[in-house]
Amino acid sequence: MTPDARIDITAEVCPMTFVRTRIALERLPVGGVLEVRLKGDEPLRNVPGSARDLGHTVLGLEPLDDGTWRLLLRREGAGC
Amino acid sequence: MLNEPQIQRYARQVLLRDVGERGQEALGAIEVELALGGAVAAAAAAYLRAGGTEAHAGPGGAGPWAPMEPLLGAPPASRLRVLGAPGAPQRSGVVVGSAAGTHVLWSVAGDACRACLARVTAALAPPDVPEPASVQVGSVLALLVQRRALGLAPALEGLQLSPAGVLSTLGAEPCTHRPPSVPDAVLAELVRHLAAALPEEGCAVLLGREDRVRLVPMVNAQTAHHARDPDAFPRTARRAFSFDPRAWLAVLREADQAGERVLAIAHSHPEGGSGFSAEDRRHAAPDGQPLFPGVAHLVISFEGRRPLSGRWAVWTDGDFLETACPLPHVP
Repeated sequence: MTPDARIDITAEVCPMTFVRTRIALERLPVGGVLEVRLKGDEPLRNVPGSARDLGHTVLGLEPLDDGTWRLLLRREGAGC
Repeated sequence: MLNEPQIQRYARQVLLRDVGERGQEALGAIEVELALGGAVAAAAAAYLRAGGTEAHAGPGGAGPWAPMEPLLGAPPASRLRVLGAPGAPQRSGVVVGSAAGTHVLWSVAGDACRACLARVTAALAPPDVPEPASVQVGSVLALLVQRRALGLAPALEGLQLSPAGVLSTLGAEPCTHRPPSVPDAVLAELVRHLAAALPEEGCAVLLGREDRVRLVPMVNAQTAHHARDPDAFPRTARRAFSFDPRAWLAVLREADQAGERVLAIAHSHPEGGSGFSAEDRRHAAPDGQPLFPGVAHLVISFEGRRPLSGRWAVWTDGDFLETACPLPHVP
């Protein structure tokens, strides 16, 4: 799946990890797919759940060879 | 779109469920004129400006603060006015007052009913906020403004702060100065019910609870009344309508049990006519006072089988005020 936008939050710490994710989602049209590169326990624990809490859909989460993770989110209408 | 310094600065607000980037922009799209002196205004301005909303003491009077750099690169598009009771903002704003030792704040939408605003603020004295309550009142004031900017507030939103610092919400009575808002599906049901009564006048009651509105179809008892007592009821159901008293009582009892309010009494004019007639007025307010205070009247005129127009009549300032009721298409 080719995302409509990509952000890299591997250098961010809480709460900016989700602030970046939320703003990137808000800037997508409804149905748009966002790829988030993240690293470490905190964003792994919080970012997918926070996105889901706002009504967005978690399409996938997979580890990459360099130790980071690739999270795919779909922007839904209800959350923003 | 927020720029990088703004994202950094407002990050913790952007995180909030009801804010986000869009909400932060909304907070920057208003400015607040604090036509209210003293420590309450100072506290509110501090909270508002920290949240990204320009607040000042009025045109030219910036107060002790330098003008803010506009969040969106352009001056704020709309202005809220904050003032002390017994004042009232002409458009959107907040009224601050006091009542029985408590502090009361009413937030008002630009299109809120002015009669309802007058009713809820009628008993308010000018604000009298001793230290240190001014900081608390100021923060509550800022919160009300922010809720208005974010689209979270109803047309009228009230908060009360006790001397002990307990915050409680104040409810506004449902507005009866304007026609109730009735979903098209219910209006369509009404039109069909009235059409079925043709060529006689049809009648019905609209009941409502919060946002839910439902139709109670009624039988026009006028012909039966006329047959029994033609002197008291000279007209038949072709030219008048009336409820059977027992059926009407049953509706009122049912509404009462369900926690519903009578929003409106509806009837039809089978032969056109221009809305609420002189006869309708006489029946609805026989002694110059409405028989059912707070209940609107809805008249739907027909031409043949076709609904021509709908007219609301709402008791306002001593008379029935008529407004159009757009009708949905009914096949």
